[in-house]
Amino acid sequence: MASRVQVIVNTAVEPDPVRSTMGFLEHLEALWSRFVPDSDISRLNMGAGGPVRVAPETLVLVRTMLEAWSATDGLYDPTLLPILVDAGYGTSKVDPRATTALPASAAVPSHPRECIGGIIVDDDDGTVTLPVGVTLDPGGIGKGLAADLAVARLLAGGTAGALVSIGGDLAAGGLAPDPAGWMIDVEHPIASIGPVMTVSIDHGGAATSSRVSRTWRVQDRQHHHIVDPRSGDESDTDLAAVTVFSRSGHHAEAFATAAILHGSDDVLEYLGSLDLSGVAVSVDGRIIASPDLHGTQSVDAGGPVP
Amino acid sequence: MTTEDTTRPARQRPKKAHVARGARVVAVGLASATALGLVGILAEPQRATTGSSNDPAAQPVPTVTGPILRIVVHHPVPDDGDDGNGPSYARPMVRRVDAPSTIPRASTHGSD
Repeated sequence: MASRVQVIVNTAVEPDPVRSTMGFLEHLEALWSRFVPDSDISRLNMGAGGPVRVAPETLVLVRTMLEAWSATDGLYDPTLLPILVDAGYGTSKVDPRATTALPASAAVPSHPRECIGGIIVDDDDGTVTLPVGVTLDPGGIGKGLAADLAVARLLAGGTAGALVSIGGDLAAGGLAPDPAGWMIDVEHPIASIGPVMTVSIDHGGAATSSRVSRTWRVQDRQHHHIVDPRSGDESDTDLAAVTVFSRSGHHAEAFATAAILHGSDDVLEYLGSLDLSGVAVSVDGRIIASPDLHGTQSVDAGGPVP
Repeated sequence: MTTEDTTRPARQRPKKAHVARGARVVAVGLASATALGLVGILAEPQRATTGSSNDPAAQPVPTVTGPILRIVVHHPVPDDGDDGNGPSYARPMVRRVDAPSTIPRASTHGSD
């Protein structure tokens, strides 16, 4: 996942909750990373249409992907990996030796509903079957789900409260250290500006989708990783970043992806239709927040986002 | 590693989940990612782990330089009898905070 991890634990029972959480997250990385040749995701993507036995956590991941695709009406789409690889994101950002393996048959489904419907998750056999040519990318939901699982694990182990953030996608549950809840800074896409605002949640998750945080250059063109499933191209949204607060990390992450695609004119209506709280920053520097996040202090927009 | 000791001020609080009596510990860990792992860097020397060798969570974490583990100890608060620390899938209460506390907080941002 190539991300910074932050763990906040309240009233830990186990002796080293941070270390054990890091170990758990490394375990998920080994299962889910498309840059690890023998990960469950890599083996699924090379599965050539046959059932592939995977870990229980991966069964959860794939099922969560399918649910998120349905919930976002396809705006979160886990089958777009060939587009990203073709655009130049086939190599890990932190280790150029780590690459994504795709079968020759890999292609973005021309009929997503049929292909998503053809993905079989068999809990009894512990297998997942992908239609030939379909590949999965955990990006856009994996970090949020990993955070959810890590928090649930800590709480099940007796910890009173926990927050786990992976690359800015986070989950929180249980008793927060502050009576007002878990405190979360919403960072501006331009890091030097400082937080857009600070938000407290009593539980759930937060995630930010951004077209400026993870970019790469191929020849003379700058690319970003937000693909619009409706066009199959990189999104031309006028939003630099959208942060969504929701009932879980993976839910927030999937809907942050869907929300940024709506653009500045429609993002609040979209979030409102789903009863989600969120804040967006447009490329010209405007801060757009859902009504419950307006607050009493104005926010320094900070100018256009490069 | 730094340690802070805080006493939560006596003030009206909303009902909260039940917590065990005794000192609370808030641990904040920051770690950077390696190429193939979420975390490869911790400030502490490598220690032997307990538990089954087959438990992935018990595998030793490589030792590297870095970052910061800060432990904040909160004094216990009265047990108000509430319980229920399990995960909730209800819509969270979301509120903008105009005067953030000094207690450690997380941040959300685009992918690193």
